[in-house]
Amino acid sequence: MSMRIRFMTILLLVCLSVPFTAQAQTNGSAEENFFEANRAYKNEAFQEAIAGYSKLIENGFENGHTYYNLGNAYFRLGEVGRAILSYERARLFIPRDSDLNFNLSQAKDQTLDAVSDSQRFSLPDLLGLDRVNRYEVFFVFIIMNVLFFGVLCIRIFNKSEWTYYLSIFLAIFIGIGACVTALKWYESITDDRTIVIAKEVEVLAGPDPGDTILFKIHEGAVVHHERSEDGWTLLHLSEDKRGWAKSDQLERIVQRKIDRS
Amino acid sequence: MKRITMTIVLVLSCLLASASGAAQVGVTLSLERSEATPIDTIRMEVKVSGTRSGDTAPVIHGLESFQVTQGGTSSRVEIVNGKMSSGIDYSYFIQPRKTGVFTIGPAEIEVDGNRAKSNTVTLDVKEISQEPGSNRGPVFIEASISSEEVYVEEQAMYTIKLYYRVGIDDLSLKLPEIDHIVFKQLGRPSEYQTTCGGKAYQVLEVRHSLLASQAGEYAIWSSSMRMTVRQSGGHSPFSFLSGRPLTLATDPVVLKVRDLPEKGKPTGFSGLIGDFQIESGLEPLSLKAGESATLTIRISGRGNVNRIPDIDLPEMPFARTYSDKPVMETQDDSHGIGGTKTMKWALVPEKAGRFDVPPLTVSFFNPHTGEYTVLKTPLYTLSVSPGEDQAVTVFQATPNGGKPAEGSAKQEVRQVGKDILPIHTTLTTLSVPYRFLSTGWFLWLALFGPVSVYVVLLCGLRIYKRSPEHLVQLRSRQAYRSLQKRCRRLHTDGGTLIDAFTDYLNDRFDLSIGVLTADDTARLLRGHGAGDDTVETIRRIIQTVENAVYAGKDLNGADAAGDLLERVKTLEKEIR
Repeated sequence: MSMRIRFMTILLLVCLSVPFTAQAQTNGSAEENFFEANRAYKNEAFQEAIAGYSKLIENGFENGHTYYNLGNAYFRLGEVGRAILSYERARLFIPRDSDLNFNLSQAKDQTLDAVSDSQRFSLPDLLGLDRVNRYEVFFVFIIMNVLFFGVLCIRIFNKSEWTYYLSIFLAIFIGIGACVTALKWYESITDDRTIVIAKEVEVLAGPDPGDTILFKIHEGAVVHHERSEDGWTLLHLSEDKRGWAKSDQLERIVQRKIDRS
Repeated sequence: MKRITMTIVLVLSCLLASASGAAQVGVTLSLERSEATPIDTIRMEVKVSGTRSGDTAPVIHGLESFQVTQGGTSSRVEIVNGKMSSGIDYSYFIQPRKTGVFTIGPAEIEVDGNRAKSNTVTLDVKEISQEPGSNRGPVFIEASISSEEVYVEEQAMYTIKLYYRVGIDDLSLKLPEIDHIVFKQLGRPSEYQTTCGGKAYQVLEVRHSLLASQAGEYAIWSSSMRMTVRQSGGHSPFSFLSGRPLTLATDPVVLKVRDLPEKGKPTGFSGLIGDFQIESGLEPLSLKAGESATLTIRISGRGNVNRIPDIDLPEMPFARTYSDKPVMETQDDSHGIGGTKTMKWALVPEKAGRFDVPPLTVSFFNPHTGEYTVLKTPLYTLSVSPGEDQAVTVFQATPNGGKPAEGSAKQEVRQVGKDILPIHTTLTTLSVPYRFLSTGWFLWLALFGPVSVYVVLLCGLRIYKRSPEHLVQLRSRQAYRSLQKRCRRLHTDGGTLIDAFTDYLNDRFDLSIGVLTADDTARLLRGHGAGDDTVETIRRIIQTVENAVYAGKDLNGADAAGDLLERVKTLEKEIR
């Protein structure tokens, strides 16, 4: 019996150690690109830096720090809209990063429109989930999952009191963990925030240049995407401020392949 | 226990402290309505706060034209937001003796040797109207407007009165929706009694402030009030629970709205209309360089208070100025909306000398006089002596009198530049921790791997438990345990020992042997692969027991059972 328990423990430890070993693996050429982009940024060759960071992201090294550096490069070029977009994307990965939050607030200070972000108030925010990224939430859930079923496996062979109480305890935690993970997942798939990347965007009553101009929004404003049709996007700022704008003047924070019309 | 006692003492001392802190006496005089006729009785209340006992009853001035009846006294203790307040309320019923506009009050009361005075209130006593109510039913509604001609954004009172002599409930009011006209309900609806057409009615009065944002002639269409009139005189014992719905509408009212006159309009006029006053103060007037003086301007009055402008302090070359956020307080009563805006600045002179703080102005339009009025603060002269330390100390203007906080003065950290923080350059930043968990096959492995392992283990165990080998093992274990139990119960009874062993063999090998001999036993055990020694020993034990049972030989049952059990144990190992 003790042999079996020992085996299960080793299996669990192996599972837990996998993320840390995987984290240590980085691609050599990606590192070079990263250094090159950083050097270009320091030499004030911001376009070159943008190209370098964008290439990294395209090659799958999409992470908070690359987006943060990309946001800085856009900011230096005076493209506040794209800077905010990059910072917001970075927040999906490193929401607790103080540098990022500082720079994002600096960039938002430079926007012209007073757009209330009240629609972003949600249950995940209330639970403090805006302070963690979805991968961290999922990782904790996986750990819970492994531990819970590990204890259940031990209980097959050893129906002792401690395994009973431990399984109940973990069942409660895995229940909470599942709800939190589902909330975070739902939040990420329903994130419709879109950033205005053009200097000024005319929001029209319909998806046609001849339609009435309802209002104008400016670079860096955060709006909410509803749907896209033939190069036009239906957006809203609030209940009474809705309209159509050209899709190439806006970019969603969480990219959806289906919307690339 | 000690902890609980300490907590109770702490709570009580906190309550006592807050009670002693709230010891300032205040007196408020109020009437339940502002209009009446000579046949109406109006409830008047004098609320004394900060004490629960007055030395004497309050003395109320201006009641010469009224018949006054005492309505009782009540004391109260309230705890709001952790602050305890106590008070005593005096009620009176007054009935006018004649018509006219009367100012009642102030009410004066002496508490602990100190006299406190209340505000005054106005009551408009009008002639009894002959027309309304003379032939009206038990429920009717009326609407009136305080002035039929007003200026743009001038407040007018729109009053709706519901007269009723029957029980009503579920009341709801719908006001007309008119472009450029805004209604705002003033306080809670008041209820009182009156007489119409010689009949006593209960009246529900709802007052609204009405504000027009554009000139023109407006027809204020009917306001409607929906209610349920309770049935009376029904035969059912529950008839008091039923009612019939009723909707009543007021007559339309016409309102003429004029533009403000252009003549005499001050430059930078903010659109403030009503009646306003200005108060100001600069404290201290003498100070050292580097110290802070607080300039306070308070504009209060009745009218469109949201138009009270934020005053811009002119450039003062002798001092640094720090403005506080203006504080706006609005209140409404039966006469309309009023409010006070308080603005504060901290002035920190940087050099010694005598400096003038110029007068500041605010203009408003007074609809009663039809003229613009300019309110002006006085000219203040600040006397600044050389400071001990010429380094400027900055105080933040505070809402409570502008006095700097006690203790050492700290300098506010001021932002002198704005920029973003640098890029991240560390190498470990290229990977996203735990990301691999939520993509591809690892996602499914991480999600369903543990549960799959558990299910496989569980199913494997179930299948194993149902396998013939496991069933044989189980049977042998049960048979041995049963034999063990029975052997321990036996002592000398050989017959039962043979029965127990026969049952063991039947259970163990799935047989149905009725009578067992020693030779049969030996044959059977050999057939199942038992060792010769074991077979022979068991055969001998059974033989001994048989001899005892059938030939009457002596037998030590406990020994025989013990021997048999030991041999069966060996047998189990051999035939497993």
